[in-house]
Amino acid sequence: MRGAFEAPPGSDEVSVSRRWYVAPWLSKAYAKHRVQRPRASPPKVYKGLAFVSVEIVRRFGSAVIDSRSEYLGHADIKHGIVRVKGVALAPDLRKVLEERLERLAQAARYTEDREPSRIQWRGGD
Amino acid sequence: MSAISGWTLSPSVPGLWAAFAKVNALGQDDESVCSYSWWFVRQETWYAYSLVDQLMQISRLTDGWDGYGAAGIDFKAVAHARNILPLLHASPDHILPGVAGTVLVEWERSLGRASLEIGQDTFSFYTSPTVGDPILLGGTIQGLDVGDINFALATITGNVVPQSLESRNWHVGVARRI
Repeated sequence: MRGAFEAPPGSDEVSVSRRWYVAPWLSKAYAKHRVQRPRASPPKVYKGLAFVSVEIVRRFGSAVIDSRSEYLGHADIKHGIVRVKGVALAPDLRKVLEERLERLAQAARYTEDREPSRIQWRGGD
Repeated sequence: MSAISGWTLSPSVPGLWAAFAKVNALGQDDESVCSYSWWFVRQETWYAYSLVDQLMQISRLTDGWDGYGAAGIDFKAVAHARNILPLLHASPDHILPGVAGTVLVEWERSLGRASLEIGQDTFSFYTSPTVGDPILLGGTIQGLDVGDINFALATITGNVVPQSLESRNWHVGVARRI
């Protein structure tokens, strides 16, 4: 699950929504309509939401920056390490990054959505 | 040799044909050598097929395979992985696609974990042992020494006995039977 917090090549940022501004049902709608790709090979299908506190992200060494220019409630987790397409990352940096991503994935509270086809979110906060 | 005829060998996997040819080349007269080699080839063939199959699945991933801008897996990285994997002494637990279009080979053992990333022309490797310092290796693919990788892997797979234990005289302190 560490891939959930991994930035794409050329960037060190992962888009997230702030719970204070964005209700889970809205995050679910965003994931289903903007991120989900059911016809891709392999398909990427919405399964649920993961919640992680800003305090934990910062404690593990990444930054969280507000990016409300995207929309009110949008933020980015910034790891400070940029991957280059086709290039293996230096081992010391990769070890730091992957262990951090692993810890983030373990610390995050993942809630699987039992009703992914519905608009409502009943997985709690 | 009749047992081999039951095998279905895929022409898309050159390693398997090579293994087949190796068994056929053995002399019929030396049965002990033949049986040993047959076992060896069977193990190697299964292992190679499993890895090649996983690599082939990874190689089909195109740009955006994770739905979040990941690069498609580079065919050169897959080719490098195909060359390197059969030379590793410890079988990996995971073969994964990397977001940068690289191939990740990972081991998770009781003594720690290790990860090898293979890119277009570069590689990086690290161990994360439960005790002791990590081993970090990296550079160009041409500079990759599989012997170094195997040695580093042995530190988390338990194939290496620390020198302090190896050199110890274990007979000291054993009660003598009277």
